[in-house]
This record gives sequence, C-alpha cells and structure tokens, in this order.
Amino acid sequence: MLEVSRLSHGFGRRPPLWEIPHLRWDGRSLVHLRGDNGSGKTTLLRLLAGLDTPRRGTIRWTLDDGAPAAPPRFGDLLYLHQQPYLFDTSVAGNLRHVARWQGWRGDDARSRIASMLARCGLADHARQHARSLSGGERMRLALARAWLLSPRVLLLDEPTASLDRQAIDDITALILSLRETGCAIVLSAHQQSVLTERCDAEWHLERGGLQVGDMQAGIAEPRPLGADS
Amino acid sequence: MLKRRLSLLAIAAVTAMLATGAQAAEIIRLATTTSTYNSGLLDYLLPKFEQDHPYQIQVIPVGTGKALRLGRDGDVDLVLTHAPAAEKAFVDAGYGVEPHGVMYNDFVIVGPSDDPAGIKGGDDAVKALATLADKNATFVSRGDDSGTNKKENHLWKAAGVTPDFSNYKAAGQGMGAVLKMTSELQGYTLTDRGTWLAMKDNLDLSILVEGDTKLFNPYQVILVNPERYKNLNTEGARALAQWLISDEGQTLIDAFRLKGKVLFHASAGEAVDPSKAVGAN
Amino acid sequence: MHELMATMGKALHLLVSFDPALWEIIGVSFRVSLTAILVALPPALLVALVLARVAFPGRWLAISLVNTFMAVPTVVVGLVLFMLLSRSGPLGEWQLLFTQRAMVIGQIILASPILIAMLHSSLQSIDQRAWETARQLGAGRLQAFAMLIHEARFGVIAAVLAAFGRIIAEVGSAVMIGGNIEHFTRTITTAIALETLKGEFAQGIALGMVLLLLALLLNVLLGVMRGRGQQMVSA
Repeated sequence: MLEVSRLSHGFGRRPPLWEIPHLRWDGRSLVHLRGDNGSGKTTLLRLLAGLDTPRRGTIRWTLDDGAPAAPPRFGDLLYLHQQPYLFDTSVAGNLRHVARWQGWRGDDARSRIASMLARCGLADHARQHARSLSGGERMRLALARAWLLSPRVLLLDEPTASLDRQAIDDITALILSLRETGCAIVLSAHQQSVLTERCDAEWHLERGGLQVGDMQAGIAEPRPLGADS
Repeated sequence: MLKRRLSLLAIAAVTAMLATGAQAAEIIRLATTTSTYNSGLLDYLLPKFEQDHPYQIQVIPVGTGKALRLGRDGDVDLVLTHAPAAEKAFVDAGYGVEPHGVMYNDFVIVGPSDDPAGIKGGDDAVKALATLADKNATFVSRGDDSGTNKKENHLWKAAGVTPDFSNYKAAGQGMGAVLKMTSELQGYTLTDRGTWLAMKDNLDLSILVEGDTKLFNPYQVILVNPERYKNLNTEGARALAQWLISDEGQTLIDAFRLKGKVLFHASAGEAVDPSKAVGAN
Repeated sequence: MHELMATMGKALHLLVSFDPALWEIIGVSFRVSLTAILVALPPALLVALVLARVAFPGRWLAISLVNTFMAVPTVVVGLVLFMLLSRSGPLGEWQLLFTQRAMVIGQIILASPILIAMLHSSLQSIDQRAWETARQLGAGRLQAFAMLIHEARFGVIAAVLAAFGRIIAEVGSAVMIGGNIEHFTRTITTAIALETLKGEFAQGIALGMVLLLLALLLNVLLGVMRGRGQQMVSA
C-alpha cells in the first residue's frame, strides 16, 4: 500500500513540477505512469523509491504486514533507471554481485543465478560482457538482477523507450510474468505500446497534477485527484 | 627586409660566440674538495689572484674521488685535493703533472658532548676509533670516497677494525650533511677542522679527539696532464699553481682566519711536518 | 666514447650478475615506495570518494589545495619533514630521522596529492547510477564503495602507477630525511645523486637503467589502463 499526501517537488528556485495532494495505491497492480517528456515522471518515480527527498509532502509505504514507513526498504522496492547501470563485468557477474550482497553462497547462489538467467532468456549470454548487450538485453539483465531479490514493487523508468518491436514484446512478456509472481509494478512510458495496453491502471501526469484512471474497464476514465484507485 | 634582419641576427650570434670563445680562453677550471670550498679559503684567495692576472677561475667543489676523476677526464685544468695516496696514483698514472704541496690542516673526531663512548680527551685517533667500534657507537661516515673518507678508512685499518658494526652509517654525502646527520643522531664522526669551525654553531657536538699526527691533512695542487687533452688552459693553471706556492700566496694562506681561528698552514717547499697540524687552532 | 661504452658494459654486468650491493639498493627503493603507496592508498580513496560524491561547502577549495600540493617540490617536503623530525623539532622524540620509516612518511606526503587527484577524477567519472543501483540491489555502504572502486579500477591502477612512479624517482626528500645511509636508507635515486661523487659511474648507470626500465614499464601499463578505461567509458 502506498499513501502519498501533499507531495510536490522541483529543482532549484523553479516552481514545482507538479503537486499531488493525495494518492492511494493498493500496491498490487500494474500501473502505467503517463506523461509527456519533461512532465516529471522520473522525478516522481525516484521520490517513490526514496532515492531523492521530496521538497514537500510525505510518502508512506506499507509492504507486507509492516507499519507504514517513510524511506522504503531497499530490496522490497526497486527503481530501475531508464538506461540501467550495468556493472563492468559479465552478464552472470552482474547477478553474482547481487548474490554476494544478499549473502548467498556456493550452490545456492549458482542455482539462483542460473535459473534467473534462463528465465530472462540470457543463459546464452552468461559469459558475455554486460556492456556489449543490445538495448533489449540490457533491460532484461536489469530486470533479472532486480528479480533476484523478489521485490514487492518495481518502479520502471521508460523500460521500452528506444527499443524495437521484438525487444518490446520480450520485455512485456517478462514484466507480465514478474507481475504474476506477485510483484506490483509502476512503469513510466510517454507513448502507448503493447506493454501499456496490458496495464491495470493509469496515472497521468499533466498540467502539474496527477490524474488517476482505471484501465480494467477498457477505457481510461480519468477521475478526480484523491479518489481511491 | 626580413633577409636583412636575419643577417643582422647572424652577425650578432657570431659576435656573441666569438666573445664567449675569447672569454673561455681566460677561464681556469679548478676541481677541489667540498671541505676546502666550504672553509671559505678560496673565496678569500682567488679574487686576489684574479686581480693581478688575466684569468677567471671557476671552482668545482666535489669529493676528492670525483675531483681526481674530473682531472683524469680532462674536464678541469687543475685539482686541489688532500688525499696523498690517491694523488700519487693520479700522478703516477700520468693523469696529472707538477704536483706541489700547498698547505695543510687537520682532522678532528667530534661527537656528543656527553660522550657516551668515553673517547674524550685522548689524542690517539686510532685508539678512539677502536673504542667506538668496540662499543658499537653510532658513527656517521662520509662513505663517499672523499679525502676525509680515505683518511677515515686509513685510521680504521690502523686500528685493525673493519667498520661493519651495526651503528656504522655510511652516508655518501658531503661533510656538512654528515655533520648535520651526526648531530641529529648524536653520533661520532671524523671531520676536517674547516667545515667543523664553519658549522659548529649549528651543531650539538664537541671536539673529542684532536692533535694526533695521524690526523694531519696535506693539500696538493696538481695540473692535469696537457699531453692528454687539447683545450686545457694549462698556462692559466700553472700560473695559479705557482701563485699558490709563491711567497704572496703562502703568506695569504697563513693569514686566513675562520671565525678568528687559524685553519691552514702554508707548507710549500717544506718537508712535511706533521707536528704543525697539532693543536692547529 | 670508449669510456662511455666501457661504463655501460660494466653497468650491464652489475645488473645481470645480480651484484648484491646494487640489488640491495633497488630493494630498499621498492620496499620504501611500495609501503608508502600501500599506506597512502586507503585514506586517499576515502578522501577522493568524499570529494567526488559529497557536496560540502569549500569542496572546490579542497580540490584546488590537493592540486597545489601536487606541485610542491620534493625538497620542500623533505625540508619541512626534516625540521619536524629533527632532534630539535616537535617530533624529535620519535627518533625517526634517517630511517626508512621517515622516508615512507615523506613519500606518503608526496604520493597522496597525486593519488587523491587522480582517484577523485576517476571516481567522479563513474555514473551516479552505479551507487544507486548497488545500494538498491542490497549492497551496504562499504560494499557499494567497494563496487565503485571496482568500477573505477583502471583509474585506480593508473593513479597508483603514477604515484609510484613519482615517489620511486624522487631524490629531494629521500636524501634529506633518509640520509643515503648504506644498506639502510640508500635508494636508487640517492645512490645515483651522491654515489657518483665517488667518480664510480657504472653503478649509477646501472641504477639509472633500472629507473628507466621501470618508467617504461609503468608508462606501458598506464597506456594499457587508459585504453581499457576509455573502452569502458565508450561502451
């Protein structure tokens, strides 16, 4: 469960990018964060992930049965950059770093990594240098790396921007299967795609505010701010 | 226009070269030891020579070993050094000619004022060094093959000691640096009296042994053999050497004072008389 | 000319015959300089990281101070350290003057500004996303720091090589605070500077060759590292 109130943020002395008086989200669905370039999608996602501190307002996450908490716990909640940062090592090496930080060792770590590589279609690339991957493969590796932690919520910044059709299909399939494992996802995209069509809800950043709409009905029905989703 | 400027430049350059060439003929290059140089004797003597002679002297202060090497390589016109054995070899090998004794001074053994090794007051340098080795006292050696270093090695040999005790430190540096190190480490060392007098106010050391005839330190002037190299200023070198052993030069040497103390004793044409070095201050 | 060739020949012979006196001097040089680098590196990394990642008031001043210290002549460092460690100086009681330890201290002072400046620029060039990504994927602060260093490893190695090259080739502070004592604080450079006063040039030439070879080796390594670093950036 996410609860946001009176949130606003901006840079320097400039006026706030947007203001969100109130937002509630059950933290279980697949959400499309819509908005034009420069509307502040990345800023919002980074704030929700706790990477930046908002100028004003509060963000409260309630994951599992815990009490509402301001700074989201890393691991449960992950933000993926639009251009994911891949560590300067092989594809498998990127996953090994995560395994090491999680304290997984030996066969346990190896089997987790191997199955994750297979799941994300990267098994054939295990020894390849991460930075020689194509755009779609890079995003898949970033998803695989995040998935290792079995996060509750993923915040994806333009995961399909500048990808070709095939890559978008691959990423869409991957995100949907992630979703099936119980991971809630907010993904930003400035244009419609096969992926955004599969989303349950839409948050629309425009004219300095956030419109929330339900996609389940087939047609997005923008509702006034502050309404429960 | 440009051409004319260039030719003017060329003329200027040639004139400059000729001028320096003419000047070079008047230069005498003298290699001497750092200890001689540091005493200030040359700063006192050489201007007086230059006043009456058409020469300009360039002094190159280095260790005795390097000074003789410069002579051997023809890089200087004459040498003024104080290492009798090495000088004899230098002349015997034909690298140098016309050796003349000029003067002498003496060495002293200095150390911490509280003298932990207990060598103070003796006048037997050999016995003092043997005691230092025996007690493994800190001893800083020049270790640079200089005249002072050769004298020190000669004394160790006379004492029947190989200086390899653990507190023996061969510094490979000049007398001034070695005295400074000795003071810092509160050790002992052998120094020429000139450098000692010049530096003692800045040192936490005292003279402990002096007056031994073995600490006698004779200086010779030797011309570099003109048959080995062209371009040597042998004429100038000979004029300087002859002036140093002339009555005028010898009187000036005897009159030289460092901080009010007599440092050098003119000895040209004399049989070597070590007793003159005793109690030289 | 003949003399020069003979000296070169003698020098080569000293090198290949593993002349103990010669190799002892080389050993002292490497021991002192490697120790200095190893001691200087961790704090330099920390300072460089702070300079690269933490915005604090006066940061630009700190950075220009570091750059200024890079230009301090080694003899000045030697002189200041000499006065500090002298019997009459404030740290005289430590009795460090004319020891290898004192030389290590001098070289740490000389190496640190280069290390910090070069580490700073290579850590700065690592993307901000690297830190965020590592932290989000479960790395602790120290682990994320280690990750940054790993990402900047070519820059780190280049910094270490450059600093090592400077301190092993410096003579000013080594003579002043080491004293060029045989078997003890005599290094490649002090031996070349002072031992040749004896008129024995072969050893000096041999030691010079070692330094030259080392410089060549370090430069080749640096070149390789730069290449790798650039590949990394462009990838």
